[in-house]
Amino acid sequence: MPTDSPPGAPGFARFREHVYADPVLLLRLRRIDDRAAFVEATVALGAERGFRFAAADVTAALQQGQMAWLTHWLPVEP
Amino acid sequence: MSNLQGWTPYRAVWQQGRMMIDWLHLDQQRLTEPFFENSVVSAYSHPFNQAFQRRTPVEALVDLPAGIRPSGFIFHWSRCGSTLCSQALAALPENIVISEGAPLNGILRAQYFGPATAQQRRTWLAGLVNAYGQPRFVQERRLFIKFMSSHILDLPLIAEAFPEVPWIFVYRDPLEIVVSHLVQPSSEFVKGMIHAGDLGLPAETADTQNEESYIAHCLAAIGKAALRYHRPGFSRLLNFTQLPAALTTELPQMFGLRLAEAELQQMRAVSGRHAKYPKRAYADDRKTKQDAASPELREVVARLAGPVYAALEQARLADSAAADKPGA
Repeated sequence: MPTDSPPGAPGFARFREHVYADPVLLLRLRRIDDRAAFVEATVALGAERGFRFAAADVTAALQQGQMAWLTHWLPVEP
Repeated sequence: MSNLQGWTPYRAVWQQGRMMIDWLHLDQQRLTEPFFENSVVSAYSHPFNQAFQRRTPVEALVDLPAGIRPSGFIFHWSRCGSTLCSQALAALPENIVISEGAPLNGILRAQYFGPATAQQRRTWLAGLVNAYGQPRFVQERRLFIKFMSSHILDLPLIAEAFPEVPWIFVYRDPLEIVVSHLVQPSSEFVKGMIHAGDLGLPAETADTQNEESYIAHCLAAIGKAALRYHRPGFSRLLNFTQLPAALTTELPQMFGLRLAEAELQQMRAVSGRHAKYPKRAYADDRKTKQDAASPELREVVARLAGPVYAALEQARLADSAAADKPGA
């Protein structure tokens, strides 16, 4: 996992930083449990704020998060 | 560094020679599960924590505001009632309880996997505990850390970071502990997980131990450390046999908690359930475990861990007698 520079299109990477700095927006996304609804909302909320990325970028980030989980018990990043 | 308010460290990991911290967002989730890892699994299932999780250099920990200082540490011999203690504390919404958080292990054992000095580990540990002490709910005002059983081997380093924090060491008849580990093995006692030097064993000797002997050696080393660092009055030895009564007597007393009867009842209520599997009712399993032990197992445990158990009991009873003396 890269440091504070997540995968996906640059638009999504910048949106992540934007979300980290906006607690209200962060909680709005954090409270969506449904995966499809989360992808849809992330793209829509990003677009509303001028960020350009596709649903595939969010899906890729989710998949990377799942992959990271598989190795989360290792003391050294493989 | 962006705002980390509301974020919780769930992993300490070396990345290209640099210690990093992974964070996830717990939102309204209190840490009431038996183990920190249970809470992490629950939080990680949310899409946000998969797509928006964060990684920072470990130095980000020191940028956090001063959090709640720990009120107490729980050390233990494993499978001995320590989770019951942490669950009783977690029953009160004023308490943040970190039960065997993996990042604690990542930092305490960092030197085995990357270039960490003792000074760095101490600083990182202080920062990590401070991160756990960031209140997320208005009522939170106390912090307790339950360490993994082998972490008492690192008590000098922990105490350098937190010299004022009292601690308890929970233990029980080691035969019952070893039987428990043989039925349900612990990842902590897989050979090599505890540095052989910390066990007082040459590496080649550790490798040749059978499972029963190895676990008994681990218990002996951990129990000896508890005895070595125990300071009556500041730390307390607690036998499983004192539970659950001690949850509302020795435990609050040791950690300086003044609790109302309603709060004590909340803590007491925990003891009716299995601490690690709260949906199950608690059942005293001492006889079952004793009956399950073969004569050979009894001999091994009595030889390797028995003297340490006897010494723990002797020290506990001496503490108790000293406390009962007039003027004590």
